[in-house]
Amino acid sequence: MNKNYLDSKIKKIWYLGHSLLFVLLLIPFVIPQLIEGFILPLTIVGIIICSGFGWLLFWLPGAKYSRYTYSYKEDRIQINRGVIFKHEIVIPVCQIQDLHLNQGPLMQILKLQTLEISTAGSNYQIYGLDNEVAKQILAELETYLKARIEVLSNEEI
Amino acid sequence: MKKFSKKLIPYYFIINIVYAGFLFFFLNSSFADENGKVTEEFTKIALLIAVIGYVVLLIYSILYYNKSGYELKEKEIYCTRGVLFKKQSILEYSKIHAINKKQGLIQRIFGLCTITIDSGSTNTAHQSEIIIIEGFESADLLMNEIKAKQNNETTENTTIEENIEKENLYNFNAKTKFIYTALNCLGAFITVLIISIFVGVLFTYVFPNVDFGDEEFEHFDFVLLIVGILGLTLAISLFASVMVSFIQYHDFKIYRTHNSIEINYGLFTKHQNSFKLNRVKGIRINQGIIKRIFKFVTINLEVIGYSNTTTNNNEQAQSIGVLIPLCKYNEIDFYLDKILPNYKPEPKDYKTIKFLPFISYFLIFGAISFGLALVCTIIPLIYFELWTETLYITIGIILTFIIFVLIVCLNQLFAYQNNGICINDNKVTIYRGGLNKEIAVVLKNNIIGIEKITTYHRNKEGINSYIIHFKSNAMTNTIKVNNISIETYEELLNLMTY
Repeated sequence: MNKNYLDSKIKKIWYLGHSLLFVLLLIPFVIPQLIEGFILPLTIVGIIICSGFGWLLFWLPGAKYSRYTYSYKEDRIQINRGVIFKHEIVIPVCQIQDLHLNQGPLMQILKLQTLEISTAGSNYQIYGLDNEVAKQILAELETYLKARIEVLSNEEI
Repeated sequence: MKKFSKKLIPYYFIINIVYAGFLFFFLNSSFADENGKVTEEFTKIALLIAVIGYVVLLIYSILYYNKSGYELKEKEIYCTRGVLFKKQSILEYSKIHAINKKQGLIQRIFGLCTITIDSGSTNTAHQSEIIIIEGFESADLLMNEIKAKQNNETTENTTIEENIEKENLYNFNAKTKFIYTALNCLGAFITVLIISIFVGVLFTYVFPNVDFGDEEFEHFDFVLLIVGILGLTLAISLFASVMVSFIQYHDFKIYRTHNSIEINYGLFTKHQNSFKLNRVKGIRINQGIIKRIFKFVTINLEVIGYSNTTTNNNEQAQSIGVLIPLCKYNEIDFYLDKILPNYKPEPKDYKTIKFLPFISYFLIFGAISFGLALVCTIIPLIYFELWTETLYITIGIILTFIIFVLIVCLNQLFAYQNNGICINDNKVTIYRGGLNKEIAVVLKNNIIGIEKITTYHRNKEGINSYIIHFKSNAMTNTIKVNNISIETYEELLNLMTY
């Protein structure tokens, strides 16, 4: 199984989200100072927290992207993700109940899609696939699934 | 299309009076002034609103009765209900997961009961697919008919089967109930004791000079107040525990036929749950720390549709159906042999050899968050030159951190002892949890995904954590086991059906 990476445009969405978070993080330190004037301890605490979390927020998308891979073949789907804790999820194709393609407003602009794999218990997502790639994966998984169901039902008989 | 029982109409007349009454008392008390008195005008307004509420509820109920109905067709059950949002459900007999019968106290007076039928769908995990309210006798007939259709038999065959005397497989007698209550209370009692000692020590030795602003309000009073509040909590938990064991689990009975299980219990609200054996997705054997000392366990079932959300807070299993409320640790095999022989837990084959991974990240993240809290509070205090407060807060935060580390270490030490896995040909037995121990058994067919979690260093050491995803409702469909040897991964992957 060769590893596939997500579409690199997904990083833009992640960066945007994290920038918004960073702005939210700034609010409690900036707003009081705008109203009351300069407050030294608040500035010090603000600099410590915002630099720490800010570094984390702007480092994460790149790290997340480089460690997010997926692969699939006739009988299984594998998703690898996670920065510190590396998750490796293996889902047999025959366990798929249904497949969805989801698109948020930002993803529509960037022509990206999320593939959601539903099973009888959990749902798994592969974020940020190019429209064409997503459709191709969907079609391929569908054919694999049909083939697997046929084989399994023959085995049972 | 058959309508629900006609007895439902007088039932609605009465039950809505109860609801309207609650509404009246709620409004009346919220109109009260500072002295708790309500002027006559406000009482009249409250009464008027309650009466209007009663009429609206009644109209809604009667409309609900008129619009709802059910029909047993050859292959499926058909059910409509709802007034504003109409819901039509069609459920094939072969896809039924659990059939439950519930009878509330007021429903019993009117001879009514509610039958709920669940499909395994995750979309509707929080509510039942089909609800039928029927008279007592016709409900029994209906349940037998549905069960028969589920087994592709005619009704006559099942009546023969019904005549075979069913044997109760578990006896939840007064003695066991007493132990169950005592164990639950002991846990609460010990927690209260520890917190009381902690608060007492904190305010007599560490902060003896804190000023409460009121001279008559001494430290001793403060400690007494906290102990009093905790004691009250204890009393409530005792009461709840007695309620649970004696009222909710009154007349607890488990029956087993060749392919299904029936579990009945309840004094005021009677529950009768039945499901087929192949609908059992897994079992969880739970043991809190108190239960561990006395070698008792609770056995819970994972069946979509059979669950009991009012289980005690001491048990982590929140929306899991209970199979055996309490039995001795060495009786697990005895009961499972009789009820679910496939699910007998096996002794663990693999466990970890390293303790460090169990605490490493707790300590790192703990240190970071406590450090941040310390920095954020101390910098302003130093700036305003509040030296005594700075000292107190530093000591306080460091003490809390030490307690946090101690609790984490203790819990993870137990986890280090517990965590393990056993992989057989047809099932996985998972040992997990720290102070609250859990043994989970899942059959091979029900596993739908394996998630491996590792870090750079753990990978080097050959240690993994796993999350096993299995078929169940979205709330409880995963079991995590920590820091197991990496050899098990291939075995787990081979176990799944591809």
